[in-house]
Formats: sequence, structure tokens, C-alpha cells
Amino acid sequence: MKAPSLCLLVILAFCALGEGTALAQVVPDIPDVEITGEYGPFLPTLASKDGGEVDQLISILHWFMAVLFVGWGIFFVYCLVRFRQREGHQAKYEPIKAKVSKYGEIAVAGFEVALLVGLSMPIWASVKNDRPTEADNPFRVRVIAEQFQWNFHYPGADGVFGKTGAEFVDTAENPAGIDPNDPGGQDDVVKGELHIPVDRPIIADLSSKDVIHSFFLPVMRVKQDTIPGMRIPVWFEATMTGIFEIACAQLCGNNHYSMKALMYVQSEQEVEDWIKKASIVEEFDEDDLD
Amino acid sequence: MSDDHHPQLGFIRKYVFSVDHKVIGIQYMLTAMCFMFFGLCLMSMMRWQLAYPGEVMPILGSLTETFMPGGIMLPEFYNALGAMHGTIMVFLAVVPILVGGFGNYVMPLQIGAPDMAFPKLNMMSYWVFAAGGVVMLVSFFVPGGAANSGWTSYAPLSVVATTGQTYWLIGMVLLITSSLLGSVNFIVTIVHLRVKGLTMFRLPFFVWAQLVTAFLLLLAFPPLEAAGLLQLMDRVAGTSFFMPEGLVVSGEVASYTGGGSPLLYQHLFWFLAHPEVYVLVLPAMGIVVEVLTNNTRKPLWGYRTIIYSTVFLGFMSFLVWAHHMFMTGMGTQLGAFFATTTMIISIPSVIILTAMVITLYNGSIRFNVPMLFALAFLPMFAIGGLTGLPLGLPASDIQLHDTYYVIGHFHYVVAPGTIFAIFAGIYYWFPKATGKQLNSMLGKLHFWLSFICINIAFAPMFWQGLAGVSRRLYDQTTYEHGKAVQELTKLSSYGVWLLALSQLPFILNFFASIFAGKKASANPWDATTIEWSAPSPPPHGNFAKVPVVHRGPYEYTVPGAAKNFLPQTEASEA
Amino acid sequence: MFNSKTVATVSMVTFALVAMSGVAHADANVITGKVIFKGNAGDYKRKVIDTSKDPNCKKAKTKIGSQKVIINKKTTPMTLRNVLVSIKDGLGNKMFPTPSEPVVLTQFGCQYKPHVFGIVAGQKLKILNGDNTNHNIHFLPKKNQEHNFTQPKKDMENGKVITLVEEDVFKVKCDVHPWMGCHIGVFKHPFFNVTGKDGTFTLTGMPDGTYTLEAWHEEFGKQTASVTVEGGTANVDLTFEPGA
Ligand code: HEM
Ligand SMILES: [Cu+2]
Ligand SMILES: [Cu+2]
Repeated sequence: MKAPSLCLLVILAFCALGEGTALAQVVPDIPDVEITGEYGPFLPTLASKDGGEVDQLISILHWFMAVLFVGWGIFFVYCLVRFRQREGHQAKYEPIKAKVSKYGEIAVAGFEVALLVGLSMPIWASVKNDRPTEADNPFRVRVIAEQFQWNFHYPGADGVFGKTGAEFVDTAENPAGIDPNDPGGQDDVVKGELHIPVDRPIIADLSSKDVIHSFFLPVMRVKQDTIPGMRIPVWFEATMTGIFEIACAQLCGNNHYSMKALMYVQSEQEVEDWIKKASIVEEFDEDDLD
Repeated sequence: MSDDHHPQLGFIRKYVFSVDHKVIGIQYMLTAMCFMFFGLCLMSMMRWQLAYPGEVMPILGSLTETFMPGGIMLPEFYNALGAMHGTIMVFLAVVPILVGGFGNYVMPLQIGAPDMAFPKLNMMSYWVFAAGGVVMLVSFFVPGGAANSGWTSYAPLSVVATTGQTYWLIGMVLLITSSLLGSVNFIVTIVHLRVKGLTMFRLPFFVWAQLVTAFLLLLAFPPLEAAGLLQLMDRVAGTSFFMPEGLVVSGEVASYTGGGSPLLYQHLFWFLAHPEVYVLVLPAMGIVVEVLTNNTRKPLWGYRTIIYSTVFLGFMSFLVWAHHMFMTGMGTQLGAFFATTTMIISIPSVIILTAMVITLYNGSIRFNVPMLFALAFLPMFAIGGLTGLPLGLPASDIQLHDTYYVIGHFHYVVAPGTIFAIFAGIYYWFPKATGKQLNSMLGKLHFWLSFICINIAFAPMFWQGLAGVSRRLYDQTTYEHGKAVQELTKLSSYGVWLLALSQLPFILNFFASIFAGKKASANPWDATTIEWSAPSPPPHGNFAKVPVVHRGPYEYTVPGAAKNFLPQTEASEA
Repeated sequence: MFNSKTVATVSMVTFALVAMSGVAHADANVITGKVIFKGNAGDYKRKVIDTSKDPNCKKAKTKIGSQKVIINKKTTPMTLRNVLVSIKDGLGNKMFPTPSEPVVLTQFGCQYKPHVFGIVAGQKLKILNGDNTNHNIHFLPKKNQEHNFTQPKKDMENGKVITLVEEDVFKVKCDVHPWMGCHIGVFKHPFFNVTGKDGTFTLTGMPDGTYTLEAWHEEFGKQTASVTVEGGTANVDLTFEPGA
């Protein structure tokens, strides 16, 4: 067995070459904030009220899959060993009556039905239909995706979102395209950070200006495509404060990979203060003509 | 007989513009194998960027200064490689190998036919396919590079994308046309050209798989062809089938009016692309069944059950497409419908797989090279199938949709699954096609290396996916959850590169055996199906005497028979 | 078929011939002037751009201002920066050599430098990234090719080099930093200039003649003025009066 070990050596040398050549930094330096939560080769930290159900389903499914695979695998390996071709062993022409397999298949089907009807459908129904009512006092924000950033549109103190239109969009100064003549829009705030209160239902209205993106909050177990021409709401409730990442989960062009935003889960007061501060338009130094 | 019916042809008519299904099959096979290797090379480059984001690529780094300035891959190039890897693997490698290659070569032999029903149409399919391939390759060199909107080419991204996308669409239209021509030919051939005695339920399962596949292609491809043409119009003629009003692209108000729908494109695409997934596995299952029965030396367990399941699977595959679209804002009714059909379609798959494993029971298993690949198909396909469950339930799909979990899932089906079946087929039918045996030492080396490496390549993706890493991500370390699993990504990359190297014994074996391999007899595996009663390699016209079929396809170890196997064409002794 | 080298050789020979025939020899003529802003400067206060999305942008300069309208209030009358002034009419069919020096566009501190500029058709445009971050340069022309590419890393040596065909002013945008935009006008001739901080411009080297000048501003559009220059310096001012 010389050839395989030789291949291995070549490849390892190849890999080692890579280790040595850390020349450039492609990723923008990560902001000087520390992301909250634990991340590893399993589901990341859970920070939402209803996300637990999704996790539970995922874990049940994987146990189910593991049991099936191991059971099936044992039978498979048993067959390979027991029925290998050898001196004095002959195949049997008559098919076996595989009752066990029939029951097994029925059991698998039954379990799938149980998962579907018992878990998936109710969770999906609540994700889709249990929109927080006015009585729940939801916090509202609009999320406007564009190549390659997230814009978060807050209604400001009056709680009213200004009218928007494509014709008003200015990527630098009016990314949401708020009608400058609409009184409801005067105190609106549009920023690239999401600040939301903890322990209060959030309703985020998703839309996109150009192509399809996908609003993905890994720690909240929330994912929803943003589709141009449509406005799609999602809702969730954060249960822990901290700074989390928002990802784009649908290929949206060259810099899809860098379409990240930060989500600050804070107390009511902190969110309010931040919005107030963000609504002040800062003027540039008049003497600086750069 | 062959000389009277087939006058001597020149080299070009015999080997280039041939109408012989075997030559066309081999043409398909070789072209598509090259594309497959090319697809793997593209992926090997991408895996460098994934493992060592933004670092200078060794060896291949100086390939293109435009897209890898200073040897560092640009994001747009990464996206183009990804889109082209997917497109090439699906439409230029796996389907042409399974249908164009094996289907063309083996199917007419297995039904005892002298050729396909429409040999010229068959030749045309190949050349239209080749033209499609050329267009796809050329697209790498147009300004802006090849298509970079994913193999799914979702509008509006694809409509506003660079010129490469136009080439992609034209290439796809050609490839689809080729497949449609081929599928009609297959259906007519299987229905009309079976020899005497070969009833539908005496057909080898491989032929059944080809038949169902041909129907899938015939019914599923037209919507994609339409979608492709509509998208082409959106790009070049200013229509707005898939473009809604009020778009602001790159800061400029876009001039699309008329209220097109991006979701319409997705529905049209997946209406094809889900059945397409079965196009990628059914013929593979066909190959595995042929090899499995031959090497367990006993009949296939549940022959009819498998066939009924396959037909049902084919039918159901038209009713599950929107499970790719749970996250587009689908409501509860549609969600429930597509989740239910998805669970239903998993049942026939389970049945087929179970039948294959039960076939092993009471067998006398020969571990030759084709059998190793066929056996490996089973657990690999099982992993691929099982991991489809969490993606088929909308609730768990929330977290896993469009992550590496999806990549892991379908690659277990198509890479260690289908590709292993393809190798099983190559090792199994190589003696028939060339009259030479492949070296089995090198074959075993190839198998074990591939088996280990391919699992190193794909298994880490499930954990990556659970962690939340999106697919199509140029640099996952942008995200905290990506950084946390970067080591797994590296591991996976090592797997891919080792996998690429593991193909060397195969390539060596392939060419060495053609020129200097051991001579193979007409029936080296003691097999029963009709193709083994033709000489190796079969002449133009295939059979010296029109065969007559006396029994089912898998009569091994029949009690009381003189031989361990009873070929379909041999008159009964009793 | 025609690679850039042959084109370059052919055009150089052509230029040489043209130059020898004395059609367009470099004259010492100069046209100078300023671009005046008339109106209420208070309506055009510059905002500070929110660059919090990418902390690397802050590294070059802590605050950057909106680039749209930059009025110098210290001059009398008030003048406008970033106005592209060029000869629109009067050169007839004369041809002028393409400068061999490239025009350099730099991305620095997540701003394009320069913000507005002209270039001669066929002249090299070299695009550099001076930031430690990823930029995506997206050309939005009508006639030229729609370049759309990334520069993910700092690269002040090689950059990306492209050439353009003649076209009215069009926008170039960064798809990663929405505030980043610049404007390019591509001309047949080298007689154009962009007003500086003091609002002045200088065009040099045109043959004697009477010309129509065009001034282009990103917010206020176009203005034209006529000027005659004969063996010396001519002076002409252009005025933008929004709302008038
Ligand atoms: C055998 C070696 C293969 C390797 C190592 C491999 C690896 C990968 C990886 C890592 C990706 C994800 C890229 C990304 O998301 O950025 C990918 C995508 C994909 N692969 Fe493969 N693959 C292989 C074979 C195949 C085969 C045989 C097929 C099809 C039959 C296939 C079809 C696809 C498709 C359709 C995509 C999605 C492309 C897209 O995102 O648009 N691959 N592959
Ligand atoms: Cu995006
Ligand atoms: Cu930028």
C-alpha cells in the first residue's frame, strides 16, 4: 500500500503550503463588538421564546435517523459477513418472507406521520399564524434588504412608518425611500443595525429592493426569504440580551457573504435611547470641503 | 449478418458522427466523464477559498489574473465556480453518464435490440448536448465570467447578472433539447424494440429505471425550457416575466413594469428540478440492482415491489417541488401539502432500499470491484435519504434551509450515492464495452480511497449546517458561527482534494486496461441479462442471431439447474 | 482579432500623422473660470454619513460627509465643488492623442477619490483599493460595459485597469458601501477639468476657436457657456442657480 500513503503525503504537503501563506485579509475586520452566545458544530445558542420547538424537532429527528441508520447498518453488515461467498456456502433461490421489513416500513411511515402531524405542522402553523396581536404590544420594525446590506426602518416616536416609494430611494441618504413630504416619515429612523427590546414580541416586515435575500437569525431560529415585490412579516421574541449576528441566507450577488448586520437585544429603555440618538441628523463640518 | 446490413463506414461515420447506440453511448460517457472531472476541479479550487479564505492559492493561483488577482480568488469568481460546478455536475456529467452513457449503451443490449428506435435522433441528441457543453465552457471567457447566480439561477439576481448568464441560458436550452430528444427515443425503444419473450416484467430493473427516468425528463424539462427562455427574454428583450415593479437595483430605479413574479421562476424551476433529482438517482439504482443481484447470486428480492415503487416514485416526484420553497413565505396549507407529499415520497425510497438490502440476505456475496461500489451506494444513499427528512419538514427546515446541511444531504445522494453507482457500472460493463478486464487491485485501491475521502469531504457538512453556515458562502468566517466550524471546513477540503487524487488509480487503470488489459470473455461475471449473450464488444447490430427470451432477468442459483445462473436467452434445459 | 496592442499601435501612428499635419498641435491656449452657486446654501447642508456598517471605514477618517453638493461659502460669490467642465462644441472633427498616463481612481476611507472626474476615451483607468476592506465597484453606464467586480483586499500596486468608450457622465457605485459613489465622464478630447475646493477650473491646450463649455453637476444638472480663445487666456464663469 505505497500509493495511498504517497497521495496522502502529497496532499498534506499541499495543505501545509496553505497554512504558511497567510498574506491577505479578505474579511473586513470584525467590528469591535463581542458576539454573544456559543457557537460550535451543533445548533448555536438559542435566544428566542419559540425556537426551542424547532430545536426539539431537529433533535428528535436526528435520534430517529440515528436509530434507523444504526439498526439498518447492523443488518447490512451482518448480511455482508454472514452471506459472503465462501467454500461450502450457497445462495438460496427462494425469497425470504420478510415480515419484519414490512412492519419496519410501516413503523417508519407511522413515525413520519407522527412527526409531521404531531410536531412539524403545529410548529409551522404557529410560526405562520400566531401573529402577535395589538394586546401583546409588539415592537415593529421594517427590514429592507438590498445588495449588500440590511436596512432597518424604525417608525420613530410617533409609531407611524412614513410612506415609501422606489422613486425616493437614495442609497446613501434615504435607503428606505421614505417620502420626504409625508409627515409620518419625518421622525423615522433607518439604520444598518437592528435594536430590539428583550421579552417583547417583535414583528419584522421584510422586503427587498433588488433581488431575493433571506433574513436569517441563527440564534432566533428565524429564516425568511425577502422577495422583491412582496412584504412578508416574521415575528419572534428574544429572551436574552446581547449582540447577535444577522445573516443573508440566499445568494444575492458578488458580496452575498458579507451581507451581515448586527442585532442588539436590549432593554426597552436602551432601545428607546438608541433610536432617539439615531434620529438626530448630524451635520458635517461646514469648513471641511472634502 | 452485420456486414450485409451495415456497409463498411469511414472513420468519421463510424466513430464521430456515428448512429450506433454503442458509439454514441461511449461518446456520451467519455465527454461526461471529462465534465465530471472538470466539475471536481472547479470544486477543488473553491475548497481552497473555503479552507483558507483570501489566501494565495498554490499551483492554480496564477490561472487568471482577472478573477484571481495575485492568486486570491474574488467572490464573483467563487460564485461563478459554484454555479458552474452545480450546472456541470447535474446537466453535463451525471445525467449524460447515466442516461446518455449507460442508458444508450446498455439499455438496447438488455432488451435485445439492434439499436435505438431512432438512431439519427440519438446522434442528434449527443451533438446538441455537446454544443450545450461548449456554450457552457465558452461562458467562462466572456466579460464578467461565467454565470454566477447559482445553478438555480433565481430571478431577479440572474436577470441583472453579467453576460455569462445569457450563455448559461442558451447552454441550458440546448442541453434540455438534447435530453428531450433522448427521452422520446428511450421510451419508444423500450416499448417497441424488446425481443420476443421479453415482457415488461421480464425486463431488468435497469431498463425500468431508464423508462421511468425518460418519462421524468420528458414531462419535467419543458417547464424549465420555458422558464429559461422567459428569463432570456427578461435579460435581452426587456420583458418582465420574473421582475416585479419598483425595483431599485444598485441605487437606480429599474425599468421593469408589468408586475412579474420572482416566485413564478422558482416554481417553474423546481417543477423540473425536483424530478431531476430522481433522474439523478433512479438509473443509479438500476445499475446497483444489476450489480447487486449478479454478485449475490440470487434473484432480486421483491422485483415487482421495486418496480411499482419506482413508478410511484416517479409520479410523486412531480408533487413535491415546493418543498424547496418553504422559506419563500409559504403559508400553512401549501406547507402542509408539500410536507405531506414529501413524507409520502420517502416511503417508496425506503421500500426500494430495503428490498436491495434484503436481497443480500441468503445470498452468496462476491466482493469484486463493481460490487464494492454498489454496496457502498446503499449506506451512502441511506444517509442522503435520511437527512432529507429534516429538510422536508417545514419546521426543522427553518434552521437548515440553504445551509451546508442541504449540501451534505444531496451530495450524499448524488456523490457517494450516484457517483459510486456510476463507478459500479463502469467496472461492471467495461468488459462488455471494450473486451478487456479492468485491473481489480487498482480498482480496490480506487474504491477504498474514494470511499474514505468522500466521507471526509461530505460528513462535516452536516455539522457545519447545524451550526448555521449558509451555502454559497465565499467566506464563512465573516460570521461567528462560521468561524466556530472553520476547522471542519478545512477537514472537508482535505477530503475533496484527496478524493481528486484518489481518481488517479482509476484513470490509470482505465487507460492501461483498454490498451493492455486482460482479455474478457463475453460473460465474465456469469450474468444472466441479455447484454452478456452478445460478444464483447458487440459489433454494430449487436447480436449475431436475434435473441429470444425465456425467463426473468435474475435467475441465479435456480434449484435443479446445471449452472449457477440461467441467462435470459438460454432455452430451458428441463 | 484586434487586441489592444494593435489598436494602440494603429492609433499611435494615426496620432503621429495627425500631429505632423498640424491639425491639432498643442497650443498654449487656456480657458479658466469658476462655477458659481447662486441660492440659499442653507438648503444644502451636508450630512455626516453613517459608516457604522463597516468599522474599517472609520479608520481613515472618523467622519465623512455627503458628497452631493459641496458649496464653498467663503468665496464671493459662493462656488461649487465637483463640477465637471468640458468643451462640448467647437472642436470640429479634430483628433487628439490619448494620454498614456492612466487616470487613477482610489477607494480610500470608503470614499472614491476623486468623486467626479473625466477621462479620455481609450485612456487607462486604474482602480485601486486603499482600504482594508472589501469594495464592489459597479459601473452603471448606458454605453460602456457594465463592469461589476470586487476588490476584497488592499491593493495599492496593481489594482484593476480598464478602458472606456466615449459616454456622457455616468455613475459608479460601491455595492458594499451604499454611500460610495463617483461619476465619470468619458470624452473624445482632453479638454475637461473638475472644479476644486475654490470652485475654479482650468482647461489648457486647445486650438484657437470659439467653444461651447458644458458644466455638469451631480445634483443640479448641466449649464453651458460660450467662450472664444485666441492665443492666450480666456476667462468664463458658469452659474448654477437651483430653483431659478
Ligand atoms: C464528487 C465531488 C463533489 C464535491 C466535492 C462537491 C462539493 C460541493 C460543495 C462544497 C458545494 C457547495 C458550494 C457552495 O455552496 O458554495 C457544492 C454545490 C453543489 N453541487 Fe457538488 N460536489 C461534488 C459532486 C457533485 C455532483 C455529482 C453533483 C450533481 C449531480 C453536484 C451538484 C451540486 C450542486 C447542484 C450544487 C449547488 C450549486 C449552487 O449552489 O448553485 N455536486 N458541491
Ligand atoms: Cu443578501
Ligand atoms: Cu466599498
